[in-house]
Amino acid sequence: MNPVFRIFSSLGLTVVLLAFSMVLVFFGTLDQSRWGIHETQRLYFESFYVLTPALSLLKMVAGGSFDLNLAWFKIPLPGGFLLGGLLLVNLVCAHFRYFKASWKKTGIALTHAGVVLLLVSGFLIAFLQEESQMYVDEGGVPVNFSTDFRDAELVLIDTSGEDVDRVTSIPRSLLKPGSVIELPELPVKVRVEAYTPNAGAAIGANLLRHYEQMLQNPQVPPAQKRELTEAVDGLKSGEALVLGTEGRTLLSKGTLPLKGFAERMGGVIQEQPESFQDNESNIPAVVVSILDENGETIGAWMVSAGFGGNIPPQTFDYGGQTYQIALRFKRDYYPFWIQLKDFSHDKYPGTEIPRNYSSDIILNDPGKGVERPVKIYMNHPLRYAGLTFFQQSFANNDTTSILMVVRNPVWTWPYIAVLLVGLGMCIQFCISLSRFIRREQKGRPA
Amino acid sequence: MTCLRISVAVLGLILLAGCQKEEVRTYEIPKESPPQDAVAPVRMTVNAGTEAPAGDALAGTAPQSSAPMAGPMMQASGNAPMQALPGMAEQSAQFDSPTWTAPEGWQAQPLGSMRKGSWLIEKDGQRAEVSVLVFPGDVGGDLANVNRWADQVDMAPLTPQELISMQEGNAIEVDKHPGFLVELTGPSGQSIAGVILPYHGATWFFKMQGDTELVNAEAVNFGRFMSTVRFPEH
Amino acid sequence: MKRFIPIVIFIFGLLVVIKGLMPPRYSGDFDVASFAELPVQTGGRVLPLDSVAMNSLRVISQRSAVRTDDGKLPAIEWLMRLAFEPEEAAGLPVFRIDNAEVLGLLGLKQEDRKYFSYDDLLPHRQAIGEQANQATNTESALRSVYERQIIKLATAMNQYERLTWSLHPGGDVAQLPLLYQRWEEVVGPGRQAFAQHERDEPFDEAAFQMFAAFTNEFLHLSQVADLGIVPPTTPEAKAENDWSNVGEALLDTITTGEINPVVAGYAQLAEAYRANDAAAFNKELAHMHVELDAGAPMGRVAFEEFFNNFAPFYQASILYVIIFLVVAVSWLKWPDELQRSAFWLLLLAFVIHTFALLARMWIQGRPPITNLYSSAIFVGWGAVLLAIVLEYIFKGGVGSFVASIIGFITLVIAHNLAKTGDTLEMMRAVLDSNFWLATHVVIITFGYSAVFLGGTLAAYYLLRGTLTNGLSKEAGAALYRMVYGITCFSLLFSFVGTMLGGVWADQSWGRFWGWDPKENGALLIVLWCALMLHARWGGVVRERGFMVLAIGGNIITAWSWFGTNLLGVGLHAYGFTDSGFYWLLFFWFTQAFLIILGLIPQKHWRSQLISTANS
Repeated sequence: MNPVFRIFSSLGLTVVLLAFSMVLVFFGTLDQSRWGIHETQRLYFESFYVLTPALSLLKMVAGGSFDLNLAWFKIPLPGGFLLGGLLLVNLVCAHFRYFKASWKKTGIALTHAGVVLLLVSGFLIAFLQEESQMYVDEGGVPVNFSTDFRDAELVLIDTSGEDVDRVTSIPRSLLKPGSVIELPELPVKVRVEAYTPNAGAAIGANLLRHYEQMLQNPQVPPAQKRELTEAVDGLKSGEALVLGTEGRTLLSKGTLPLKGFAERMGGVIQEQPESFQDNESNIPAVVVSILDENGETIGAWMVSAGFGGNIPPQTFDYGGQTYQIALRFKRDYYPFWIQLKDFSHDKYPGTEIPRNYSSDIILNDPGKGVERPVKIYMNHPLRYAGLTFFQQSFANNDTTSILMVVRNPVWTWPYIAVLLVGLGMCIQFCISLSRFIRREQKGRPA
Repeated sequence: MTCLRISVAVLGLILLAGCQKEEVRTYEIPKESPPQDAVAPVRMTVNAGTEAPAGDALAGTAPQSSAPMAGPMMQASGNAPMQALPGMAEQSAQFDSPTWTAPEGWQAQPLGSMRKGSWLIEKDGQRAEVSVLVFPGDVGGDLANVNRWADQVDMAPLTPQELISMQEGNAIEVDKHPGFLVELTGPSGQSIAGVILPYHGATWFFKMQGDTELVNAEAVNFGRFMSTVRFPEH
Repeated sequence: MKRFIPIVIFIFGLLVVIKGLMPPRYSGDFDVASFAELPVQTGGRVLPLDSVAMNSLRVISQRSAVRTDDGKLPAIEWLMRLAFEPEEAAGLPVFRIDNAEVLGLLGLKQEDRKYFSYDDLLPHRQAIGEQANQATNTESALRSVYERQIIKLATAMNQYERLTWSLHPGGDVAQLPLLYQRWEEVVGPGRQAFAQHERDEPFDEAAFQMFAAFTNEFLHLSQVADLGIVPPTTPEAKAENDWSNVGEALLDTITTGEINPVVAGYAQLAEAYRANDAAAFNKELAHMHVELDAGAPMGRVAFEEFFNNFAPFYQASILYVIIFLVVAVSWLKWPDELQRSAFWLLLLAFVIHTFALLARMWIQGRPPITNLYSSAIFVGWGAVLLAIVLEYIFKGGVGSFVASIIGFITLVIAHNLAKTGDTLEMMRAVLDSNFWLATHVVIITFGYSAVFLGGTLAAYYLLRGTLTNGLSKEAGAALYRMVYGITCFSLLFSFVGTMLGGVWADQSWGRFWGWDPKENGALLIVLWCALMLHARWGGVVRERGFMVLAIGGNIITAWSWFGTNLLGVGLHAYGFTDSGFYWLLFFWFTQAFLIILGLIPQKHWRSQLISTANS
């Protein structure tokens, strides 16, 4: 037998891989206190290897918090993709090596087929699943988009159309400082001057005053004082456009022909450390120049995903069209609308313990001639057009319902896989049990 | 071995399937109706409990961007029913609040991050609300602001000329900062008396809105209230 | 003679149970049992007053009775005294304080004592409140032991104080009848004066002031009192099953003009109690039952009261101790008879355990596992069930032996977990799905039972094999088969349970698998069981190695069950206490010790499990 095949088909390898999987899952659980679930998932389970600060994490079990002093000690571990892939190969190879068609083996075969399907669907879900949120207000306008608060997009919106807006969306991953982004369907180009993954946008004068006040506080620690002084210097010079987390000026105004918020309000971007907590989202901000067809700069704009309805949309005119420019959390538009009739939130009498959340919505899809009321509540999602809408949360004194929208084309796969494994195990268990009982009865003196 | 190759190939295919590159897209969407603001995903919370105080140094002047990700279980574990949405509450928290004295008979109402003052006046079955709001920037310009109010009392929008004459005729000073008075008497029995005041890069809105009769009766009180407004000196 | 041993022992066990079934005896002539059965509402459910007393006392004192110099005072009698003679009750040592720093705050040393009365703490009430307030500023995960303990003490004092104003407005209880009488007198003229005042007409100033003072007081009370004592009367309240607390009930007097009969009843009980007039007390109680029972689900309330008195988990744990001893003795003397006795007793204990499980389900109207407490009960129950099957097949007492150990330990764990309050609390919205509670949660917890059973059998194998010469080769082989079978069973249940959890997660928030700590914990068990089986099939381990792996299963399951609660990052929320953590560490150390023991080659064991003749 081929020695490579012998290794890849051996049960010894299975045991080793399972053991590594356990170590990975264990540290991947502990490290969530630092990174949050989403980031940990990416680092540990959707990767080929990960460097885990094992000692510090182990200490955390007893101490409650991550110990930075031990964080230098890192162990490389195979990541979820590597282990899953190897387990898959191992399983398939072992199947070819050991499997002999026989009724007694049906249980094992079914179980393993299910595990293969589970692993494969795990890979597919990691790549294909998209999650976003839809905010709908009681009695508000129908909504036809959802927002992914983990991702952002720079949009140029041509609002000159009668009934439609033309949106050109540039994904966050392309917003690298210095790069020039070609827009195939627009006569302009975008040059990225600065990009901050998490930042607050402020009015320069206000920020300066605020920092100066803070500097007067004698209790400010020296390190912070240095940072504040540097930030104040930058702001005072009137040159600072983007301030780093340590107060350094990351981008100066220089010769940038600033327009909009940055020009009128003296807007400044203050970078913040990125947050990996699951209940927080980063608010990116960006400074971009818009270039015309000849590469000449039309102007430079500062946009932040944190700009709400309170800051008027920033616009520019080119070629007879008016374009809005904005950075916003990534949106997905749908050909149908959802309107919230009523959100209800029941509690147990005399307590604050929530009993139920539910949203009564109207689903309206003119393209398909669908218009119907739907009730979305705990454990009862709406599945429509390849999307699943779950009751996730609520806001604004119970008048806004937050629905989670999940696109997962293979959502049924795990169900089938689980069914196969469960069935296989049950069959195998019954076979073993009957054999076991028969042997016990034989073995016992009459 | 063939089977080894097969499984490696399967694995490769799966990985390839996942490698989609993100690129620029252009698409058309139906124009959104004006109250779009109501469904914009980014907004401030009005829940005073979760409001962050004015930031502490570099760590907190900007969004501690809170929680849209909370899964349903999160509520099972946390005390707060729901978290604030990512927003710019902190930005407006930077705009220093003035001080004022509310007349007797105005019932104070809960405040929000942008809502710096709020009172309810009830008399003889009539109601009016007084609010003080602050927003960064000029919020779309004076015309847009006044017309938003006009819309709230079912009045036709003002023309730019009408606005200019209103601004000239009704110019006032609040604590030595120039602003202008807005008086809108709607056809449906609702009226607004208000002051719009730009101050240090932000715009302050003092507004009394309610039944016309009561708004007129309280006009004196409102004027007295405005005269007590003091901005922090710098 | 020997023939009668099983019957004698079984009857002894039965007597233990019957003793528990006897109605409790209370001192004095007051009909405490009837008082204990008065229905009230708290935490969203209607329950007997006795449960309120027990749950509160468990939080305050970590016990279900007060120990005084004159003996034990049952929780309900303590509550009675607290409500009706608070000045007397304030002298009872009910607050448990262990932390040296907290004691230091009170100017006390650790060795003095552990229990303190309200009177002891009263001089420090303000300091305790301030310290606790400060401590709450620290993020809960970062709090020091002292901070957690001071918060706990302040919470306990708070709960104590709330109890004193739950059945009446508190204050001077002797003045209650006078207070209510005054309120009835004031309410009519006061209302009139109030209306006149509203209309700007002349009004009776004195009546107005009095009325306002009372209303103010009761309004405040209605916001802070958390015990619903008056069943709903209006249709809306009935639909919501929303009981009125004492403040709300007293405010109702404004519309009805008279004191609610239930509120008046509690005042009369207080009067009779203080006058030591048992006859009047009992007569008023009978009245109140007539008043209250119609509006309450009395079947459940009375049953819960019976359940409290029977304390089936306590009876079962006594039986488990007896079983443990009987089996241990059986390996020295009369093996057949004693092992048969143990098996019978085990069946009896299992019946009690099952009854208690079902009783809780009925009271709550829920599948068996709704919180950490009930999971402990169920893990024990499942393991005992499996062990009974093993004992039936294999005989030899091992099954009964490990069943008694797991049964007892899990009940002790449950007992300690109960110290956080009501164990029949309401389910939060997202968990509120009987279907998933009944499938996913039950199956996965049964998986825990199986792993612990396998692990305990392995522990028995290792200890008996290394430390004694009592493990024969055949017995070792039989244990190997048992642990192997149980492990297959564990894998089946933990896998199906975990995956059902995935289906539930997919149904309720769209992620089949979210990698949250609790899910990962369950996954670890699945992986471990799979690892054990593949290690055996692949010849990586044999008898001894497999046993060592089974001990590892204990460690991993304990992590998955309790350890993940330490992290506080997961979406699954359970309560877990400090001392629980140390016990968990202790458990892990014992298991690590067993693993080291198992790593000793078998030729050094005291039991000869390998054939030395051939080697």
